[in-house]
Amino acid sequence: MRKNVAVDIQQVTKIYGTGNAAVTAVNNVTLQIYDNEFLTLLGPSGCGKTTLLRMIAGFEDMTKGHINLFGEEIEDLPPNQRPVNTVFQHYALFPHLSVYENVAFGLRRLKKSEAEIDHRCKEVLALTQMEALAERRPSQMSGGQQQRVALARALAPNPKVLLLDEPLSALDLKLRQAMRDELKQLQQKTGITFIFVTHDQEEALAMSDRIVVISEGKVQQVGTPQAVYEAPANRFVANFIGEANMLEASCKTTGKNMTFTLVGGGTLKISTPDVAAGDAVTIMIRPEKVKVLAKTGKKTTPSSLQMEAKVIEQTYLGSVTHLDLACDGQTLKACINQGAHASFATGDEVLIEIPADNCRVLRS
Amino acid sequence: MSIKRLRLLGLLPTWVTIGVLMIGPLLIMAAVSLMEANVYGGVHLRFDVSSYVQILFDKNLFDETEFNPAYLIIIMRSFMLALGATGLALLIGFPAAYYIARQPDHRKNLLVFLITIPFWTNLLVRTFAWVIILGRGGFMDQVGSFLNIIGPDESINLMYTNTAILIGLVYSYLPLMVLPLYASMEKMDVRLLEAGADLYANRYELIRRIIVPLTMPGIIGGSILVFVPCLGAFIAPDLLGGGKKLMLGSLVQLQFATSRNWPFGAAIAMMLLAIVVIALMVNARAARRHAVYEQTGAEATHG
Repeated sequence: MRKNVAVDIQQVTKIYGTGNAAVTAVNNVTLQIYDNEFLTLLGPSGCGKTTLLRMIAGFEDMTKGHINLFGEEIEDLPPNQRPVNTVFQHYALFPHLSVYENVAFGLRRLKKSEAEIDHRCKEVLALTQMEALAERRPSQMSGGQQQRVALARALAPNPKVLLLDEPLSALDLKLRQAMRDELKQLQQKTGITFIFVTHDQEEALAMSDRIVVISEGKVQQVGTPQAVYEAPANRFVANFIGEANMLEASCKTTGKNMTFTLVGGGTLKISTPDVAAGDAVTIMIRPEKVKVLAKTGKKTTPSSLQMEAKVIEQTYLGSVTHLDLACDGQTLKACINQGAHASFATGDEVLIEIPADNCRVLRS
Repeated sequence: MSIKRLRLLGLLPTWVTIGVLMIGPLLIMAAVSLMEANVYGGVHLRFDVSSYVQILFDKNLFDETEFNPAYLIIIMRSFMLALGATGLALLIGFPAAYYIARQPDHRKNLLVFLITIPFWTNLLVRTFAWVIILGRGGFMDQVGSFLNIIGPDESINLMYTNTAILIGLVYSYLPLMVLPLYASMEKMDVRLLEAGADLYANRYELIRRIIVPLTMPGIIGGSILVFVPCLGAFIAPDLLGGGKKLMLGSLVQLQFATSRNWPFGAAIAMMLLAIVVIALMVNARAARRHAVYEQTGAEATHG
């Protein structure tokens, strides 16, 4: 199926300041965002993700590049002429207007008829479950309620693209988790393209159709949540999303199956097209893929590397237990399911197994 | 002595200040306005309401009481000039305050400082500067002849007009408009303007729908601070109006200083006070209507 491009970002660069004080916030980003997609811009604070969002909304000028919205150039349009709406990080609700008037604000500026405004306001307030509080002022509501109003207000004019700038960051954990599901459902119900900015990798994994990982103004990887988690493109992505064990290694033989020799000894046969013989590489494995066995245990997978290790710390987290293991002079993390294995005590000598299929080879 | 008594005693300076320095003089003035004038200045201790009657009525040659609009004209002129000066000050002060509020912090402080600088000089001296600017052969006339609006020896004849008084009033009290406006604009969240623009509001709608409602406390406060002293002003009408266009303030000053009719001066002052109080009450009502959004969570439980 051929997808419709909603937002086409072409080689966009944003530089703040001039001369020595110049800071490149967004560095030559090219990105296609599809219609009806939930796309997340994920990265640490100051990586340029919010700047990119603000350039789509029209609050920031671009230093270089083009942004097209459904095939139309929008870079010369002021924010009030772009068919996109924003949910702001701190909601930015109008304190002098009721919830209803906040939601109606955009529709009134678009000179809709009173009947149309009323119909649409009720519709989005129902969608966000805020119809009972329509006459309240923003100051009379909790953070979660304000969040919903901000969402309703941005949805009311039925934008082609909805921009969300860390909208959940001011909510407490429970509410944040509930809102994740709700946002995802809202996106599917309305069919509006959502561009969601966050620094919270869990949020990104839970909601997105695709994730764009950004660091230092550059796109590091674009892919589905599964892709960026299981096949990170580089060390930054591997470390930023989830936990990762990094093993330094060198590549020995060429061929479809290459052999990687770890710095600390041991070899792994992994099929990968990405590296050439002689390259120094890093082998990444997620903690939950590391198998921990009793000293007397047997190899469970033929293609795995087995090493001796010692439990130096364990953290009980309910459903899972995190283990820190000393192995060949470095610390590896493992994550084991409760009850699936025999439990270990700190100081236990164990065997660990690194299955080659779950390893990912990254260029150093 | 109990702690409670001691606390009340601690409030003594406040009571003395309010009582002796504010309520006392007011009572004396009210009393004087109800006494009979002494031809040599001062008063006879006799109850007499003729000073109030004198505001609107006069005795003619045959000792009959008839309507005299002279003072009513002065009252209307004062009211209109004060209103006009307030409106003009708002028109000039609003963009100025907005500009200052949007500057980076260090420049903000400098600009606010500059706004307050005129207060360092005597109002009389500053108003006199306008006499030189507006007077015959003054700066305005020179600009006028340079632009060929008037001939070389002609004058725009601004002096001793209501316009000159208006200019003087606006100039004198503009800082009192800018400062409260600046205070509310500085508090306003700029992100609301982004939200407004995001929701399709153009520049005019941003001002009309967001900036004005949110800075209403400053608009009301500044308007009171300009309107009240304008109503009682006497330096600008004296110097720029040439004493021909009297205002309420000049009338009061005249009665006490020149005519030596204390009761009449006091009666006019009381009326001035009444006008101010009524204006403040109208304003306070408007302010309450606009302050609704400042209600907090306490109200939420009723919803």
